[in-house]
Amino acid sequence: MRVNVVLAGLAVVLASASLAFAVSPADTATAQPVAFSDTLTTGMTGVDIRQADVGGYEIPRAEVFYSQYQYIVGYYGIEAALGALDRDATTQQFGHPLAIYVTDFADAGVDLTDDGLLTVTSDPEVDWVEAGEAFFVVDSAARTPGGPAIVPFDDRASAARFADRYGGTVRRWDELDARETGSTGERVRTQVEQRGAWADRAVKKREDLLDRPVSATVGENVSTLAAAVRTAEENSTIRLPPGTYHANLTSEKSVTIRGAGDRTRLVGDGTGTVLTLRGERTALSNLSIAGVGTNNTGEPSNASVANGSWDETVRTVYGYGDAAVVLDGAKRSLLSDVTIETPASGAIVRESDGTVIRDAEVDGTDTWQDGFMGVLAMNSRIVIQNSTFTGGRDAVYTHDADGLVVRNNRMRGMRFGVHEMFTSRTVVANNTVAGTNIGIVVMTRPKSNAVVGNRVSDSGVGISMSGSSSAVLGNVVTGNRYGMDLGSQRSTYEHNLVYGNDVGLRTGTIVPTNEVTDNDIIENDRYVTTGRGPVRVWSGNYWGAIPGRDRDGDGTIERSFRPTGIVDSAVSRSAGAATLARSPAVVMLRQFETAVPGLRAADVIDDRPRAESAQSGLSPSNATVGDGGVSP
Amino acid sequence: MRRGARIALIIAQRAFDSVTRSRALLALATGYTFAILGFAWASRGGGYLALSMNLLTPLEVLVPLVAVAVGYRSILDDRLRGELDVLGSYPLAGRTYVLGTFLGRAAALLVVVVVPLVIAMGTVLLFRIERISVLATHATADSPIVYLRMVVLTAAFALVALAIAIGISALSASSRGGLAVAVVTALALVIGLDLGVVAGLAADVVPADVLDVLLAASPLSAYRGLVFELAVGSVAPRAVSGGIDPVAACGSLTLWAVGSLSIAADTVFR
Repeated sequence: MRVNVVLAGLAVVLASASLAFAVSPADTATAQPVAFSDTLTTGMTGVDIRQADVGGYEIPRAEVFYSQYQYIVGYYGIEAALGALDRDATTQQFGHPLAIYVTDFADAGVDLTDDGLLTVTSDPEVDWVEAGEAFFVVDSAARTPGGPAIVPFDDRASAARFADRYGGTVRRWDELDARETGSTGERVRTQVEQRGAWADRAVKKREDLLDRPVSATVGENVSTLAAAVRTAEENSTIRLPPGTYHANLTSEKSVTIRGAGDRTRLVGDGTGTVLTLRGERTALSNLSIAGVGTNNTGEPSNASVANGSWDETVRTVYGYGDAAVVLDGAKRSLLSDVTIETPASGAIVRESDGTVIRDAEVDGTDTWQDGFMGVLAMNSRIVIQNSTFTGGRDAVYTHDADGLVVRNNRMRGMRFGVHEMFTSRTVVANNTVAGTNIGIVVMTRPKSNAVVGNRVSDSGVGISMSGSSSAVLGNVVTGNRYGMDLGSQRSTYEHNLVYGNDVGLRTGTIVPTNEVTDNDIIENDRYVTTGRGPVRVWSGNYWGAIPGRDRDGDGTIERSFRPTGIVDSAVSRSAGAATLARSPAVVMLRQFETAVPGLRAADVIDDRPRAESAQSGLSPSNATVGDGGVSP
Repeated sequence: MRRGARIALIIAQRAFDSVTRSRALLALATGYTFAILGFAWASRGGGYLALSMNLLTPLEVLVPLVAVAVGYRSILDDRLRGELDVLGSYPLAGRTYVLGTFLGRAAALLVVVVVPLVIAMGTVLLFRIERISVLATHATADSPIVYLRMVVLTAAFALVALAIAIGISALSASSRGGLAVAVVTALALVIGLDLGVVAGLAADVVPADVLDVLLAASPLSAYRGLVFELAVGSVAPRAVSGGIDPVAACGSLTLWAVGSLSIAADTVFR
C-alpha cells in the first residue's frame, strides 16, 4: 500500500476531526421549550395537581434542561424548581442547567379566585419565557392548591400590574431564593416526633370516653341496643353485658357503647353495615362484631356527597361499602378492644378527625379479592394502633387522610398492609407486616410521609414508596421478593435493614433524587435492580463483604461499590468476583464511573460503602425500634 | 527541498512496508482493538462523554505501548541488517532518513490507534438506551465533539510516543539492548515520569503551585491534562476538568517529539 495515500487519508481524517476544536460543544445543545406533558414532572402532590386540574386553576411551572440529562425535568411550582436547583445533589446527578423556562402569564388574562387560586381567561396564551428574562411576582395573594405561588411574566409592566392588584413584589430570577431548608430526613424526623406526640395526646384524651357514667344497661333497664341508643343521654355509657345483640343500627349521639369483652357479640343480619356512628365523641369498646354485609363498595344515600370534587368517585364508591362500623362525621371518637369478623370492610372512617382505633382485631376474608379494607380512613386524620389485622384486601387504606398515624399494628395475609392514597404527612411506625403483596405502599405522589421502624417479611414487596420529601427510616425488610421499591423523589432512606430478600432494593423513578444512606443491604440474592434512567449515586450503605478495604479506618471502604455492576453484583454469589474486581482492567473501567451520572445507563453506585453494619446492635432476629421514635 | 521530500517519502514507504509486513503488528493491532472495543462495550449505554472518560486511562497505558512496539525496532533493524551503513553511503541527510522513518511508522501506528477509536464511537450510537417515547429529550451537553477532540489528542500523543521510540531506536545498538531500552522507555512514559513528579512533590523539590506547568513535562500527564482541559472538561463537572496549562502541555509534547527526532537525526549515521 502506498504510504502517501495512507498519510493523506490520515491527514484528512485527523484534520476534519480537529474541526471539533473549532466548535464549542455547549453550542450544539439546543433547548427549546416543549409541551409540559412531555417532561418528567415533579413538584407538588398528586392531590394538589388533581385539584387544580379539576377546578381549572393554573399552576406556574418550570422546565429545566440539565446539561447531563437527556430528559427535560418539569416542575409544578416555581418554588419546586428553585429548591431543586439549589441542591448540590441535583447538579451532581444531572449537571448544570443549560436552560430554564417558566410559564409566562403576561397575555393570558390572569386572575385570582376568592381563594387566591390562579385562573386565566386564555389558556393558549400561557406561554414559556426564559427564566433569566422573566419577572416574578412573589408574596402576592396568588396561590396554588399546594400553597403560595410565585407568578412569572415576560415583561415588567405585566408583573407590576399584577403586583398592584394582588400585592407582592416583582423580582428577577437571580433574586429568588429557595425556601426549602434542611434535609428531608431532618424535617420528616421532626414531623415524626410531632405526629407521634399528637397521636399520644389523642389516644390519652379518647380514654376519657370510657369513663362516662352508665345511663343504660341493655337487658336490665332497657330491652334492646336500639332502644338504648334511642333513649340514652348524651355523654353517657350504654353497657352491653355478655350476650348476642342484633344491630344494624345508626347512632347520632355522643355515647359510649361498651361490652364485656368478646362474649358481647353484636351481630348484623349479613347485609349492610352493622353499626353506623355519626355522633362526635362516640366510643365503641370491648365487644365483638359479626354479620357484616358482603358489598365491598356502595353508593351514598345522600346525594350531596357527590359534589363534583376531584375525588368524587373514590369517595362515593369506596367509602360506602359494607363495614362492621362506619364512623361518619364522628370526630374524636374511639374504637377500642373491638374484635371484628368481616367479609367486607372492618371500619370505614369518613370525615372523623381525631378518631382513635386501638387494640382492635379485624379478621377479613381468606382471599383478598373477596374482601375489603380493615380500616378505611377517608378525609380523616386518625390514629390506628396496637391492632391486629388478618386477611382481607388492605389492612389500612387511606384516602386524603393527611397526618394519620398507623403504629404498632400487626398485619398478616392480605393484599397490602398499609395502603396510602392521596395522603401526605403520615407516620407509619413500628408495624409488623407479613405475607402480603406489598407490606406498606404509598401511592399517588403525596409528600412528607414517614415510614419508620416497621418490619415487613414474606411479602412481594416490603415497602413501596412514591411521592416526595418522604423518609423511610429504621425499617426491617426480610424474606420478601423485593425489599423496597424506591419510587419516590427527594426522599430519604436511612438505617433500614434489607436482609434476605430476592432483590434488596428496586429503583423506581427515572429522576433519581433519593438519598439512600446508612442502610444494611445484606444477604439478598441480588442487591439492587434498576429500572430505566441514569446512574444513581448513593452513599454510605453496608453491602456485606465487598471488594476493597478500609485502609484509613474511617469506616468507609475506599473503593466504590456498584451493586448493579457486572462484576460487583456477582460478589454476593462468588468469591471469584472479588478477585476479578481487583484486576487492573476492571479498576481502569471504574475510574470515572461516578462522573456525569446523568449521561450513563441505569446503574447504582455507592461511592462510600461502609465497612461495617450501620445498625449497631440491630440484627435481623432482634430488631427493636423505640415506640414512635426514629431510632436507631 | 523537493528532492528531500521525495526521498523522505521513499524512506517512509520502506518503513511502512517493513512494519505492515510484520505479523507482530497485526497481533498488536488486534489486541489493542479488542481492548478498546471491550472497554467501549463495558461502558455502553452512556454518551460520548462517558465513553471518553472510560477510555482515557486505557489509552494512556496502551498508546505508549503500541507506539513503542511500532517504533523501537525502526532504526535498530536497519542498523542490525547493515542497511544503515549502505544508506549512509548515499547523499542522505540523517534528518531526511529519520523523518521518512517517522512518517512511515506513524502511518501504520495511526491506523492502528485511530481506527478502533472510530469504531468505538459507533458503540454509542449502537447501544444508545432506548428513549422513553412519550417524553421529550434534548441534546444535553454530551456531544461527539468531546470524543472527536479526544481522538485528535490521542493521535497527537501517539505521534509523540512514536518519536520517543524512534529516538531510543537510534541510540540502541543491539537487538537485546533495544528491547530492554524499549521496555524501560515504555515504563518511563507510563509510570516513571509521573512518579518523578510525585517524588519531586514529596521531596519538596517541586512546589505544588507550579504543578500545572511542571506536570506538562511528563508527556502522559500532558496528554491526560489536555484531554481533561480541552475535551472532557469543556462539558463535564469541574471535578474532572483542568489541572494543566494547555500551552505548556502542547509545548512539552512538541518538545518531546522534536527533541527525540533531532537526537535520532544527529546520531543515526554516526
